[in-house]
Amino acid sequence: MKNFRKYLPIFILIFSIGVGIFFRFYQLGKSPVGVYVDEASIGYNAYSILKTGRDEYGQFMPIMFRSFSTFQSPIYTYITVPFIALLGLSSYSIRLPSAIFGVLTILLLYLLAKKLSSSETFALIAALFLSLSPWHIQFSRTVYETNIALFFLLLGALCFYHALKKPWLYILSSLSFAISFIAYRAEILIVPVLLLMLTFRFGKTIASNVKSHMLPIVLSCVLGLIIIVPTVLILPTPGFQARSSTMNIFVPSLQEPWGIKVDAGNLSWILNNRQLLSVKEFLSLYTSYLSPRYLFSLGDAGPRKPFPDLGTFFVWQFPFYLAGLYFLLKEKNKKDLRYFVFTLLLVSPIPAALTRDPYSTLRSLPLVIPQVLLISFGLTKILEMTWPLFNKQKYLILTILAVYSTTRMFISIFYHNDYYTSIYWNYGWQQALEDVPNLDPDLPIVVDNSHGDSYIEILFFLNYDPATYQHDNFEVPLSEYYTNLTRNTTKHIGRFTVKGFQWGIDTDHTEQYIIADNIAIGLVQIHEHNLTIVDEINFPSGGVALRILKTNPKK
Amino acid sequence: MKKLILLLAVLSVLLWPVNYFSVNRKISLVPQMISEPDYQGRQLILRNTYLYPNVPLARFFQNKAVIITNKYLNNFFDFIDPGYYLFGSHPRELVDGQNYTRLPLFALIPILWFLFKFKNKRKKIFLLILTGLLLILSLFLNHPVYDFLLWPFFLPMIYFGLLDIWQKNKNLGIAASSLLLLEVILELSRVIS
Repeated sequence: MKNFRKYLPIFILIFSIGVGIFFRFYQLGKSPVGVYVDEASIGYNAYSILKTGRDEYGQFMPIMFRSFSTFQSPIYTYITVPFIALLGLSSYSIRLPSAIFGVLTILLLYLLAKKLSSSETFALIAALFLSLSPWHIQFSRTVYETNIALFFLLLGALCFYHALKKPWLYILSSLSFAISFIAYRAEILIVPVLLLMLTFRFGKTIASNVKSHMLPIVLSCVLGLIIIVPTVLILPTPGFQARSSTMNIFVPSLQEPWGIKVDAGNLSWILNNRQLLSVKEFLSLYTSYLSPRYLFSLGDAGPRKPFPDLGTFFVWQFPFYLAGLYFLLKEKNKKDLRYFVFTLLLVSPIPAALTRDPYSTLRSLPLVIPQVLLISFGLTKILEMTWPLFNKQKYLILTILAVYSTTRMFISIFYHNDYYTSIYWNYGWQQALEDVPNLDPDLPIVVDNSHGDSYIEILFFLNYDPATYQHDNFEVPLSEYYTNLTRNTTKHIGRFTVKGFQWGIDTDHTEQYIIADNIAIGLVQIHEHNLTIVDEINFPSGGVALRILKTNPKK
Repeated sequence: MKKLILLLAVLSVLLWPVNYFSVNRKISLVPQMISEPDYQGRQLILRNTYLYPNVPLARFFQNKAVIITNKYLNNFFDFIDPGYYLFGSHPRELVDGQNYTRLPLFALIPILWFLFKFKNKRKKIFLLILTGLLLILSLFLNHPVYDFLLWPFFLPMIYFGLLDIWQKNKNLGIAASSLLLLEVILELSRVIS
């Protein structure tokens, strides 16, 4: 019995990580079905770096990847390179880093929670809840930079707390924070604020040990700056700004600000003041990230973000969220935990709330940490307070709730998600390209790109030689890589020409194949232009994802 | 001073009925319960059922009780969303169109003060009754049209919150009251204009 109790925490931790591994790795390359264009872009650019040292546009080791002129953060792409070298370019190999870092984040959270609270029970519950978090699982199964940024953010914080006693860990902390800073745009704001708050909190402790802390701090600052300076230099460029400004609610756009009153008359100058309305919209968006309505009921409305029928957290966790807030505010012995949780809780939504999208779980992923910590803290305190009352019953209820939620989540991820969301994951390209070898090799193939950057799907699934692609396609001079946003909408990929196809010219005069979705070419147009359907790829929910058509020009 | 604070609290809550009646010109208070037959909900459940690996599991997770429970929870979470009161449920508005500002944004200061700082023997009973009322109102599909029952609860929260702020920190009291007054004037002129 003694041995059992001694090893119980390790057993629970292993169980949590095991559950975390299962939900992050099971059918990793297969679900979500399809590879979203952003995923394909990161994957193919990593492949291109591996083969040529340059990205798809021919830029040597970019600081930020141009990628459809949206300028992606580089860390995920570079991390993916060795995985592709080992496993080849596939949906599995590009999602693998995310899954690995997702699991490592569970372990990090356990260590951080233990460090901040000195409570084994709390740390174990936090690890278990993160491993079961639909929010965190979603981003650990897909190629999004935010998941990696979160890992390094937590690693930086953990090392910082340890560095207070072992100063040389400042270097590792600084490295991690710097990587997090360049790994995702939201962290460009979160990391400095978190660092500032930590410095403010522990300034006195550091100052009292200035002799032993000075050198490691100076070194880590220098190292951190070396890492972030190239990215900081990119920040003012049109490339970076273009994406940020289109999303920012404070930047004037064609879209009217929320809350505008059309018939305001003489009071329009104050009632429709754009700055005031933007501030109000920001506050409404910001509040939504902390509101139980979004956390436990609505979840994220984005097309690729939520698992069907699941909120960001489970409904039964709501009372623990409230209890966590209450007890953590009241608790006198958990100052470090309180400070960390509330800092991250209040800072994490800011970058997301600056953008127009409502409740974006993608941009606010760091928020999962304080919210999991709050829920776990609430549960820990309730367990402590009710001990030894209804001991067996309460653990039984918790186990039933956990099993119920886990089963529901399993069904949602592996049975419902692909049915409902395949349309948003660019489903169909892999299947369509598998059919290409069966087509007449002498005929060219035109691929319609009017509904997205389909060229990247072709490059990705064909594992197309990056050197050839770079040679055959030109977008902007490399000297204007970060400044010129011009896009070349026609791409040449071997026998494929990817472009917005033109009725008549592409359909009636040349004998060739066309690959397009049902919106671009419907059945009526197929009959009108005498096209032959060679193959149809259907979504798991039915409905045509893509068609391969053959033209029949009149001779 | 107490009368001025009471006046400010009344003006703050006044925004709610003014907006309520301007949105609900032809108001129907006929209750619609969450247990009423829901054709669309049943169709969704039927569709989901086919996606399960086996029938018992599908029946366990997809049934009428799930439709009703989800509706109840959604209603309850609508009520405890700060955005419901301050931003007309923005950014995810309610589908029934009951999206209007119920309270000025700066009313949040006295309300939070009341909830976390204000000490009174009857506060617990007050909050218990309020919670009970929210739990009951969540039973109605058209729950926002009954939210006028909440008006009497927000008035004392704002009043006692503000009063307590004034008594404990005069400068903060001046700041909170001024901001609230300014916003009340602005919001009321928005409705009247």
